[in-house]
Amino acid sequence: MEHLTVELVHQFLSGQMHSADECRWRAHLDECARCRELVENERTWNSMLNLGEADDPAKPTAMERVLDRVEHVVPQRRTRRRRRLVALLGGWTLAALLTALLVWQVSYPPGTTDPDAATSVAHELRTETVAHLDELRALERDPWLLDDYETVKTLDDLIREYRP
Amino acid sequence: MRTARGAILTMLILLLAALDVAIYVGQREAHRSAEQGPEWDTWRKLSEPARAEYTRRYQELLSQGRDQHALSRARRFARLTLDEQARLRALHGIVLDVLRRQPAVERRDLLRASPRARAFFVYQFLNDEMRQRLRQLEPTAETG
Repeated sequence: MEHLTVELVHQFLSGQMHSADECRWRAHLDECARCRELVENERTWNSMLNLGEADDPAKPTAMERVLDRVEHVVPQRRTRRRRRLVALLGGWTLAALLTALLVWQVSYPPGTTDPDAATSVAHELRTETVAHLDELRALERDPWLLDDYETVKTLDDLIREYRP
Repeated sequence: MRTARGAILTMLILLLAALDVAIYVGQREAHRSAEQGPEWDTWRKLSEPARAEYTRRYQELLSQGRDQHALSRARRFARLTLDEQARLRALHGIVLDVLRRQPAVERRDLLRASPRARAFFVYQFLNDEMRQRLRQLEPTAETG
C-alpha cells in the first residue's frame, strides 16, 4: 500500500496536486490513519509558521520574515553593542585625560611652565629680591650699614649716655 | 546596570572637569596676585640692569650668609627719622676719620676688633683728643 510522503503532503496542502491525484489521496486518507496523522501534523506546522500565506508571491513567507528579522536584529544588536563599547571606552579615555590634566596642573602651576631647577631657583630669587627691595635700596644708599652699623649705633649710644 | 554605570562615568567626568577648571582658575588667580603689590610695581618700573644689579646684590648677601643681618639693619635704619639717619651718617664719617688718623697697625687691629670695641675706642679717642667735636655731636632736641 502506497502512503503519502512529506513532499506529497506539501503538494496536497498547498493545492499544487493534480485533481485526479488529490481525489485518490483523499480516498486514501479516509482509510489510512498514519497518513492522516502526517497531514494533520504538517497542517499544524503550517498554521504555526503561517506558511499558508505563501500562496501570495508578493507577500514574504513567515520563514522569510523571520530571516529578515534576524538579519535586521543581529546587525542592530552588534551596532548597539559596538556603540556602547565606543561610548564606554571614550568615557574612560576622557576621564583618564581629565585626571592627567589635573595631575599636570597640580605639578606645574601657571608661571612654572619651564619647571627645571635653574628656572625655579631664578624665580624664587627674583621673588625674594622684590620682597626685600626696600632694604636693598637702603643698603645701596648707605653701604656702610653692612659693616659699620653696629659700631656707629654703639658710638651714638655712648655719646648719649656719657654726655657731659 | 548599564545606565547606572554610564551615570557614574558621566558624573566622574563632570567632577574631574569641574576640578580641572577650579584648580586652573585658582592657580591663575594665585599666580596673578603673587606678583602684585607696591614692591612689584616699583620692580617693574626699574630698568633691566637695575633689576639685575639688585638681584646680584641679594644673591651675594645670601651666598655670604649676611642677608638676615644686613636686611635687619637696613630695616632698622629705614625706621629712623631723617634727622636720626643724618646723625648716624655723620657719626659714620667721624668713625672713618678717627680710624684714618690711627697708625696702620692699630687701624688693622681696630678693623679686626668687634664693632662694640671699635665704638669704645672711637669714643675714647674723641673724648681725649677731639672734645670739641664730641660736643658738637651731642644730640639736639630733633635727634632725640
